[in-house]
Amino acid sequence: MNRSRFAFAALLAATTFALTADARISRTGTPQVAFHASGPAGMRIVGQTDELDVDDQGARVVIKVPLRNLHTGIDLRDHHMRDKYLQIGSYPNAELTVDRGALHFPTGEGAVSGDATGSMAIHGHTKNVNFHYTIARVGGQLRVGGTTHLDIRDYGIDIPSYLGVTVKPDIDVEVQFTASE
Amino acid sequence: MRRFIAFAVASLPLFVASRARATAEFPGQIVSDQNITCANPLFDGNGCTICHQDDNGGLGTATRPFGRYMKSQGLTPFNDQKLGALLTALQNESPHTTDTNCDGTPDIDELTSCQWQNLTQDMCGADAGGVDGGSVPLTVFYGCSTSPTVGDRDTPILPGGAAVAIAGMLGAALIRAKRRKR
Amino acid sequence: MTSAWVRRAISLVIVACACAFVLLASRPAHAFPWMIREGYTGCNTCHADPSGAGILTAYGRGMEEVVLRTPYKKDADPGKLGNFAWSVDLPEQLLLQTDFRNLFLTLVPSGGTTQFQDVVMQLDQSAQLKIGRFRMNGSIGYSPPSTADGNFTFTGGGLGATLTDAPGVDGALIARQYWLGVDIGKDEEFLLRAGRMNVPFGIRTIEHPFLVRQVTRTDIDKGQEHGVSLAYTGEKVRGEIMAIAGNFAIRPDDFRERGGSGFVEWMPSTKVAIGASAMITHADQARTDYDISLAAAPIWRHAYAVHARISPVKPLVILAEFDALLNSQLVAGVSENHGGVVGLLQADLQVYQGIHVLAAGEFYNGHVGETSTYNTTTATAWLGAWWFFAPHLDFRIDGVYSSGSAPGLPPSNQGTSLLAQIHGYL
Repeated sequence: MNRSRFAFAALLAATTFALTADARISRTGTPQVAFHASGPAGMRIVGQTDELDVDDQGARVVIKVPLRNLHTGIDLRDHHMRDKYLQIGSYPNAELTVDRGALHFPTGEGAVSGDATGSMAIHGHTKNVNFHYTIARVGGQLRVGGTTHLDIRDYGIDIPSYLGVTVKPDIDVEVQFTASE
Repeated sequence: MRRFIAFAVASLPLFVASRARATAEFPGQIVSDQNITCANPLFDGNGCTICHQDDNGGLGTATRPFGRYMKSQGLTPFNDQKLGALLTALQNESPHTTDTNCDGTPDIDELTSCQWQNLTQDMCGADAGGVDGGSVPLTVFYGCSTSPTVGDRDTPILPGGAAVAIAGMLGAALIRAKRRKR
Repeated sequence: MTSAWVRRAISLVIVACACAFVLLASRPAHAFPWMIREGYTGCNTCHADPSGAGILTAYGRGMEEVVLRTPYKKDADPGKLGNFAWSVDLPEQLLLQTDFRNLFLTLVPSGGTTQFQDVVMQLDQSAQLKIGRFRMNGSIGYSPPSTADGNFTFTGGGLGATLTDAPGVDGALIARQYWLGVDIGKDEEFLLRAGRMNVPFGIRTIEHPFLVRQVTRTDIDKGQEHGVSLAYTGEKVRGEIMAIAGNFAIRPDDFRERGGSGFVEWMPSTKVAIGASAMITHADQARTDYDISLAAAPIWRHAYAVHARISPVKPLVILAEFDALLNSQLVAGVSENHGGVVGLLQADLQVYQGIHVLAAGEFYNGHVGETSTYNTTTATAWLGAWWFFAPHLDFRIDGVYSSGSAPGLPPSNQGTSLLAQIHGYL
């Protein structure tokens, strides 16, 4: 009896893991994407958007962030950012492509975190980036968070400067979204 | 380094008083203004202590009654003209009444009769209202302490240091910028 | 030859104009702690003074046009509109600003006759020259003489910051700030200054009559002191500490306060700032003209404050400050210590860009003893509206009710005041 229960549990666990590893994920809910830039002597700029798409292609997961609604809180600055620096007319999205095998998913309820490498495409330039991620399974949903650090010069973006204030080229990116399997 | 030296030199006028005559002249000026002819008016050779705590003088040390009185009337360091005007006002009292140290003799009479040493004494007692027991309440005056005044009208005179320094620096920057553009 | 003369003449004219600007008119009173709503937690991006207020940087001028003023065209780049005199390109080393601010004040005292005042609050020219890491900053202005006609008074301001004897028959020259400084650090995050400067304490705000500023004598109108300061501005922490040598624009020396003051502010996000301040000064004689409940004796004055600036949603900014006060005097050989408190809670609601509704409540309790002139407790309520209606121009009206007075404010402050201000700058 006990042996048969153990065998059933083992089978169930194996099946669940297999499902997790192979299940396609798709975004649900409202994502949060933010970048943190800084300027001279303490100046901070935070840009945010709530647009993000997840394209699970099986072997690869592509996370796409449309930039058209990226806001920093000041309209003119947004205008400059989107049109002059990001040039979203030609390059509307930022995309992170990750091999699915590089990611670890929780086997049941719980969370895992780790570091991985993906391919980031912004402004027509692509470069490998390291990022940190956390994936938590809560109530059948995956809560995904990730952070990475970028140098905008790597993507051919001019360093923003306005009226004598020049933004530093290093920015931190933070992403949070919920996905279903 | 050249830039630092140029900056420092150009900035110097900011910290230079418009006129730099020493307040140490005050005792001698009292003697000459009041035509004091009696022997040895500057009883200790300096005469500073009719106002100051000691002969070293300095800001905040004119705490004796006569010193407090002169400050209360607006006397500032280096301001010979104001000193002369205040002495004239004391001399013009009829009869002489101002007795800041409460010793029973008007201050101007103590000065002209060479009783300066008596003027250094505070006889007013602890309850007279002053900080150190003197009888003279102080009044706040507005204006830079080294800003000179003319006559009794207190005509404002621009302390030249700041203006000259800023104007000079502005001019230098503009000319330099213009040269760079050429 | 001719062209050389022309060039020389042009240079002379430019220099003469620059000098005239400096000599004719001193320190602007911009200080908007509610700019935190735009994510600007620090001050030095927009102001030459790292702790805020005063002459604007080129970026600050631009931001006045972009985020402060009412826009009449969406996303319009202001171009040169924010520049000096709306269009002048200055060398990058040079900042210039000319300010004019006039107040028409109606005082309705409790149980007295209504008084009317026209106050030329500010007629100042400010300048900063920066060569490499070295800065030279100063302001000079004019305060007209007071005249009275019945219940109407015309007057200037800035007593306590006068270069010349004041009040004088010809008015007075005002110099609120003048300092030399050097920027230190990789990002110039430190500024070491010597000269006459705003005292670093509490929330630096344009509303200089706020009790928290008047009682502590840390307002930006005339509360500056001479001394040496070191300021730091980082992404999450900023602060300044100042060794106070005294205000040499008042005399005699007995009244000059010496000691130190400083604040530190932590900004955990771009919408929240929390700070603490401390100040200790000593003077050989207390300013009984500020607070008649003090004794004409030496005084140690302490103030300790906590403050917060929070923007929970973009249109709203909450400012709060609470100060604990201690006056310690030696009177006829007996030590007397008197505590007090003063507080401020202000809400700034931007109903549309450039249009603000402001409400504030204040309280003060700290007079040594209740007199016929002073109550021991004063409460004040403010309600105002402010419109930044055109480039370099703003208009403001306020209604203020005060149940009493406080050190630094006239006894007639008790009652209702109606204020209308116009401010413009080049």
